[in-house]
Amino acid sequence: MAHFAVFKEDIAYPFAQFGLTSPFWGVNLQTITATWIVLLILIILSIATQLALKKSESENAFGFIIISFVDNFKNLVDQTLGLFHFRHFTFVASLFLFILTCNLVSIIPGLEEPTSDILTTLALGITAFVYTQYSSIAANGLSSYLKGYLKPFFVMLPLNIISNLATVISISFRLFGNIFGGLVISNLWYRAISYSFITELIGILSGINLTITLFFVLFEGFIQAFVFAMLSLTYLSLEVRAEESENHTAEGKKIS
Amino acid sequence: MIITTILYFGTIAAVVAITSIAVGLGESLISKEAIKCIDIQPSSRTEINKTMLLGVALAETSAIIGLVIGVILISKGLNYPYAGLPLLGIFLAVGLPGFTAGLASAKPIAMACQSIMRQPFFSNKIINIMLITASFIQTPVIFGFIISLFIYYQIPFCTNFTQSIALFASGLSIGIGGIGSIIGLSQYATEACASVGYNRNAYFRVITFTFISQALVETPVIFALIISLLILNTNIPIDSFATGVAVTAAALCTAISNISASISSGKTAASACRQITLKPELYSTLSKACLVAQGMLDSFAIYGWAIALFILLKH
Repeated sequence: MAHFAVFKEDIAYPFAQFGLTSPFWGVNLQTITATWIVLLILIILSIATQLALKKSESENAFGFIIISFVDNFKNLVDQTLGLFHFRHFTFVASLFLFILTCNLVSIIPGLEEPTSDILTTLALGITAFVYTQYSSIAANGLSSYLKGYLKPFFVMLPLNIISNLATVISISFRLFGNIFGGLVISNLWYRAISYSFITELIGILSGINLTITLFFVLFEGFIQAFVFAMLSLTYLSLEVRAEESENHTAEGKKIS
Repeated sequence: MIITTILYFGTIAAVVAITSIAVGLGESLISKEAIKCIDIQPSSRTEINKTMLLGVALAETSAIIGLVIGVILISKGLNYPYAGLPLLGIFLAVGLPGFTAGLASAKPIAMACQSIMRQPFFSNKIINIMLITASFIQTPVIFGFIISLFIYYQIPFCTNFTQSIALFASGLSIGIGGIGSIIGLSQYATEACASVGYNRNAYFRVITFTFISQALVETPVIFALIISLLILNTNIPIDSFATGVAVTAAALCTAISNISASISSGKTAASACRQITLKPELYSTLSKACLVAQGMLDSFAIYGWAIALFILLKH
């Protein structure tokens, strides 16, 4: 029976000389390699985008895809935040692209998704959390940010802090659980068919291999990346929008 | 030894019985609805017949799985001292999702028959959406089947009481954890089949929405599956009763927190689907709002799952 662990197997401990040997301080070499490959893919994509946008629009399909992606994502951020901030847009779009590429990288043979490592998803969740808190302070000012923890009564202070921190756990564990589940199921199937040549042939010809890959890698990877981006955008809008709500309702009244 | 023998034959009988009862009740509901629909709209009887037969074949999946488990258990007698609790785990892993799925998958199929009665010329598309949604309902049963096979193959290597508790906990997690998702998925499927009957122009929007929301409703089942597999993989020290209790606690924690989260997630998706059919032009707003709400609802399942993971890591 396969051995699955929440923390991965071959871990290097770079901080071991300081006595930090808990799995949280470990670095998985496979995850690091896969993450670097993801970053390489993203860099190549961005260079290709720059080259494609210099050409005339009529002849390149790639430029059209990029432009329509950016346009749709811009509309999404626009609707959710109420106002368009270029900074927030770049943050959410890069989160989405990074997670999507991470989820899809397991199509390349020999690589595992970096998002099936709990430390990667925790890092992503903490990044989104810190960015949200930072933009909340930048939008509302430090004093009103701190006052927000005392709403509606000062008794709610610990509850507010816990509910704020719980978003990190929920957002990162959702991504980890779904990708890890897909990994476990495809590993189980691989083990089941790898007894002999005939079973492998049956797996390929019956289309179950294809179905598992389509559902758990392409489909689930896309959905989870989108959910992660949407949820971090929603948390961001809850924090940022508080100040601009009066402005926005005035605009809404004008339109209606 | 006597208790083990009773549990061995009892599990075989109970699994087959409980799945058959549920599927029998569900199929009676489907056929009743189909006959009613043919009575109202006799000219569409061939389409309704086809839908009914396809739906009955789909709803029968859980009964067939129960039968397969019964045959597997009978084919190799179990003369192992610690086989009692694992057998109970197999019963939970197959019986509970099978029972719920047998009852719950009847409603969407009956609703699809009604939709075809309303829109006889649109029957192919309605059958498509019924097949997609109804086969989603069966996935927790299949997960339970996989887990019960693992439990069955681990029984001979089970040498002490704590290990048998772990095998039982693994079945408990997927068994109770699957119920909520099945109910939520069935509610969504009923609404999807009904709404295509009301407004066939919304078909493509509903089918896109189906894939996104069904994946979110099903997330808790995947969490329960992970906990089951992790429990099967933990190295349990001999005769440490505390580990057995901890493992059972982890399984219960995941399973119970799944129930309400996935039922309410399914309800949210169902009402969003109804609104999409009424106003297809508002699709992007509605689907986004529903996605965020479902994400928030799923987080309760995730909290339970995170605590279960920490319990398992501690031991």
